[in-house]
Amino acid sequence: MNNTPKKILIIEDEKTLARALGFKLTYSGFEIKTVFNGEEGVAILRQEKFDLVLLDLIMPKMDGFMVLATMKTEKIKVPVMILTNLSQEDDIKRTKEYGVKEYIIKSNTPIAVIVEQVTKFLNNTNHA
Amino acid sequence: MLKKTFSTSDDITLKLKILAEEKESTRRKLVITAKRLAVIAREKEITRRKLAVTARELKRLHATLEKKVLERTRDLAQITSKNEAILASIGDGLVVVDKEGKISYINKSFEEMLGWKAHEIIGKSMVEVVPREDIYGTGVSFKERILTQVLAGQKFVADLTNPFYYIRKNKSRFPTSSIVAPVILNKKIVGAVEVFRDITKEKEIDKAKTEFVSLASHQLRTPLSTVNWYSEMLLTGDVGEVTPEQRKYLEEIYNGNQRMVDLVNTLLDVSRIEMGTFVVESKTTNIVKLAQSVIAEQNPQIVEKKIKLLTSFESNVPLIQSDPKLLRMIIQNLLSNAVKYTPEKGCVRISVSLDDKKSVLLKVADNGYGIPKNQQNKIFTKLFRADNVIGKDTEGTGLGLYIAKSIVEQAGGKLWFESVENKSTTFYATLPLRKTK
Repeated sequence: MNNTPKKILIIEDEKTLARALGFKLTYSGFEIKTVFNGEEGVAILRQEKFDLVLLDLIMPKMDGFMVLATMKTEKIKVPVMILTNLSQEDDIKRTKEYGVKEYIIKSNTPIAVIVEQVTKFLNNTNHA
Repeated sequence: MLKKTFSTSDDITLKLKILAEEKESTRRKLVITAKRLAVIAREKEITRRKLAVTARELKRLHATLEKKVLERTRDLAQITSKNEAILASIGDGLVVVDKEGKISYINKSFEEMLGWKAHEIIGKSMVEVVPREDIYGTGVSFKERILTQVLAGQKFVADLTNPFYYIRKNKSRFPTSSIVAPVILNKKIVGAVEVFRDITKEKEIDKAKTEFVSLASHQLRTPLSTVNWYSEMLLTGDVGEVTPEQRKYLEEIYNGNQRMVDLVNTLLDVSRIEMGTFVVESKTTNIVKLAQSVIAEQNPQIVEKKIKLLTSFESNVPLIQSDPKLLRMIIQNLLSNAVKYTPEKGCVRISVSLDDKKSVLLKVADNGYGIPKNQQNKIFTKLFRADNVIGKDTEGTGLGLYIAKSIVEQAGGKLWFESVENKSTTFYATLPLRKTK
């Protein structure tokens, strides 16, 4: 494993949830940047390189689906993990069409499990 | 003779005397006869008069009778036209069929709703003239039509709570709900009556309600996530150690919140069932393995209530084509109900066997509180909870069996039960090896 910490971008409009995630992930040794809507998310993605994006779906200004679409058209190739409270099959399918591998429903998942999944994901990409 | 007559005057005198006597006797007899005749005549007159009176009476009665018949006929005509007016003006569609299912009467609403005129379809087969589709747009075969089943005596009164669609003459369709009842004469089914209504409005309201529930539930998840994550972080000591007392309180908050999360998830399942947005992904599924994993998941509750769990999984149960996620929900609901509604140290049995060559039978039995007889017909109704358990368990939502039944039926199976209050309850679910439709 190399020494520079992996960089994660959290795009989440619910500030308390973003703060909790930021706290836990920083504690687990990741470098975290947090923005509160899709527009800011895309802006920062155009400038900085990240190892993973944790993306909410329902957000003001630009929602998560729009972020995914923009990333696709602008060829911003960063793996995305969806963190949402939408659970309709349609929504899940839509994100999968953008190549999203992980889809997590926030209210149904303990934060410890999310950290675990993020860690596992980033470790795997490290090995690859 | 004259010679003799004039023989002696004495003779003549004697003879005259005799004659006079005979005459007198004859006269008397005549008088008597006359009297008798007079009596007879009087009697005859009386009879004649009586007859006259009777005749007059008869004539009068006849007249009254005729009047009454006329009145009755008029009344009957009035009643008939009133009945016809009532039938015609019922807001619901009405069709009467004979025992072959041929249409013998339709009302005005039927004509308006389906676009057919009575003279076009009287005498024709109802199931052929008016096709039916389920909510997925699949046509219902003649054999499966409720009308056919009622005529065959398989169902007494069929109340279709599940909406379906009727196809109009112009091929457009509308959602309906209907009630079909047999017409019984001398203990024989001689036909059937179907009453149906257009439930487009109700469906729209229902849809709006379901969408609202879905939206509200999603909104609720955000604060629930906050409570979940923050109480979890406090419990794991992320912001400092908590005392055992504080931990206990935090666990209460966490568990209470978890229950709310489960409730929201259940409500979302209900909305998905009702909006028809439940995506079914059939794959090869091992129902026995699923049952075993559900048992493992619910083991804490089973152990806590000291419930004896008996399992019987037959070895010849094949893999089935089904959605494991939905199948799991069915088993979870039935098993958790059995555990919940059985007192401590009770017994729960779960078994899976091959029902026939086309389906698998899941059986969950308990010796718990049972379902009161007078409430058994409501047990699958949304939000219904039986009286005898409301006080015993506060966590039930009255949604589990509604969801389970919807899923089983969606999968082409059947869900039913037998129950004796305070003795036992057994739920049966059949699941086709592969869905036919």
